[in-house]
Amino acid sequence: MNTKYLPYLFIIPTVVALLIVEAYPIVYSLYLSVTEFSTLTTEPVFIGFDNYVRMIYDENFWISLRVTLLYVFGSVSLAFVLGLSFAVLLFRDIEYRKRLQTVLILPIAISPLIAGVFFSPAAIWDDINVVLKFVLGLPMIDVYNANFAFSLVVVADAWLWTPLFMLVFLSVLQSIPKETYEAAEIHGASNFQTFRRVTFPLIIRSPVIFIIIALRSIDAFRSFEIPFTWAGWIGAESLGSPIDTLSLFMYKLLIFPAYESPFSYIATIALTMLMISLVITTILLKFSDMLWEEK
Amino acid sequence: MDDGYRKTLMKSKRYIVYVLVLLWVLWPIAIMVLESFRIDLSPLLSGRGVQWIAGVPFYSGGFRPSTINYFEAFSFVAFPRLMVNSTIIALTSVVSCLLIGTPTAYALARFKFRGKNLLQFSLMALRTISPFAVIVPFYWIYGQLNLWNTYYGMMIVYWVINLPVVVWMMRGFFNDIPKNIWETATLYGASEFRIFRKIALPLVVPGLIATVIFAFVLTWNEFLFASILTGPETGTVTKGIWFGMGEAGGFKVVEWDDINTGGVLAFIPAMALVLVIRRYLVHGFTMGSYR
Repeated sequence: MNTKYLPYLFIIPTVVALLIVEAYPIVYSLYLSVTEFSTLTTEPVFIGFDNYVRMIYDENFWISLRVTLLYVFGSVSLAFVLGLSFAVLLFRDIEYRKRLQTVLILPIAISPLIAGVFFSPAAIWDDINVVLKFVLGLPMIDVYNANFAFSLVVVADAWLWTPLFMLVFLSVLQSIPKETYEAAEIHGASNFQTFRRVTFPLIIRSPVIFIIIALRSIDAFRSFEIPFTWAGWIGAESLGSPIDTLSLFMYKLLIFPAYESPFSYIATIALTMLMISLVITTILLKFSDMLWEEK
Repeated sequence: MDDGYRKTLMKSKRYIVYVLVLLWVLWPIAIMVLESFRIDLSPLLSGRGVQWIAGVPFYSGGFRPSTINYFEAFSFVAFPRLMVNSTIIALTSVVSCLLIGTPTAYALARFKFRGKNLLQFSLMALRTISPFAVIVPFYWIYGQLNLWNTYYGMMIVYWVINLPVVVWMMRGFFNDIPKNIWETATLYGASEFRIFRKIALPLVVPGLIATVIFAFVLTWNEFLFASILTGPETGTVTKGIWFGMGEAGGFKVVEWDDINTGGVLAFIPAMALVLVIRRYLVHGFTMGSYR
C-alpha cells in the first residue's frame, strides 16, 4: 500500500460531506446573491451586484449589524467577567468546588430558546419587577421598551454562556503550578495582589482564552434564539428594531412575505457574514495550532 | 476584633456570595420549573395573598401546584412524538457524523498530507458559518428532492453543526495517544487500517462516547434549522416548545404553561447528559484543543 495516498482514504467521507453541507450552500448562495430570485418558482434573472448595493443602502442592515456587534461585545464581556469571578471563587474553595460546579454548569444544558423563555417579561422580569416595586419600592423596569429589552437579551445570553467561561478559566487556573502561588505568598502578596499580578496575567496569556473568546464571539455574532423569542414577547416584528441581530433580521426577511426578493437578499447578507466569520476562523486556527504544538 | 469573630465574618461573607451566585444560576431555571407547575410566585412576593373580589375572599396565586400541564403535554400536545423525533434526528446525525468524521480526525492527528490545511480551514469555517447561508440553499434543494420534513434531510443538515465538533474533538483524543504506540505497531507490521481499528479506536472509546453525547446535546438544543426545515411530522422538541405541533412561521407561540412544561421536559435529558460528560465539556467547547 502506498503510504503517500493513505491519508486521503481516511478523509474521503468528510470531504464528500463537506461538499454537501458547505461547498454546495456557499456556491448556491453566491449564485443567489447575483440573481433576482423572488419566489421559489420564478426563473432567476442575473442582476450582478444589485443585491450588495441594496444591502449597503439598507439602513435596517446597518442597524442590525450595529445591534449584533453590541450584542457580541456585551454578551462576551459580561460572560467573561462573570465566568472569571465564578472560576476564582470555585478555585479558592476546595470544600465545595465539586458540588458548586455541578450546579453552576447547568445553563450549558439549556437550549438558547428555553433561555429566551424564562428570561422573558412574563417570567423572570415579572418577578424582578414585583420585587423592585412591592418589596424595595423602586420603579419597575419597562421591559417592553425595545431599547431596554436589548440589554436584557444580552444578560440572558451572558447567563447562558457564563459556565463555559467558568469551566475554561477553572481548567487554566488548575494548570498553573502551585509553586507560583507559594512564591507570591512568600513575597508577601495579598490575595488581590496575587490575582492581579500573577493569576490574571497567566490566564490572559493562555491561547485557550483566545479560542474561547473567538468561538463565543462568532456564536454571538450568529445568535438567533434569544432575540427571536424577545421579538415574540415584545412584538418587535418590524425590521430594524433594537433587538434585531443579523440572524433575526434575515429570519424576518424570510418569514414575512412583504419584503421583495428575500432569498437572494438573505443569501447576500449571509455571505457578508461569512466573510467576517472567515476572518475569525483564521484567528481560531492560528490559536488552536499553538495549542496543538504545545502538546 | 478577635480572631473568632473575624473568621465568622469571613465565612458568612462567603456564604452570602454563594447564595447570590446560586440565585443567579438557579432562579431562572426554578421559575421555568415552577411555571410548568403553574405556580405564580409574584403574588407571594408582593404580599397579596387574599384579595376581596366582589365581597368574596379570593386567594390569588400562592402555592397551588398542579401537574395538569404535564398530562396535557403527554396527551394533547403530542410531546412524546417530538421527543422521539428529536432523538431520531440527533442520534442518526451524530452517529453518521462519527462514521464520517472519526477516520478524518485520526488522519489529522497522525499524518501530514497535502491539503491538510485546507481541510482544517473548511472544517473550522463550517463551525463559524452563518446558519442562513445554509438554510436558504437547503430549503430550496429539499423542496426539489422531497427531503423537506424528513429524517434524512435533518440528519444531513445537522452535519453542519456536528461534523466540525466531532472531527475536532476526536482529533484531540487521538492526539493524546502516546506516539510510540504507533511506532511499535508499525514495527510489528500492522497495516494502517489495522492500527486504526484495533489500536487507536479502542483507546479512544471514552472520548468517543463523550463526543456522541456532546454533539447529541448540541443537536437536541438546536432551534433555527429545525424551525425552518422540519414540518409537522419531524418537528423537534425545541421547535415544538415554541410553535407547538404542526405550526410554523412568524412569531406565533403556544400557551405559556405549555412552553414552560416543554422547556422542563427538554431540559431534563440534556441536563443528565451534560452532567455525565462534564469532564469533557471544555474539550468539546474549545474544539478539542484544550482540557
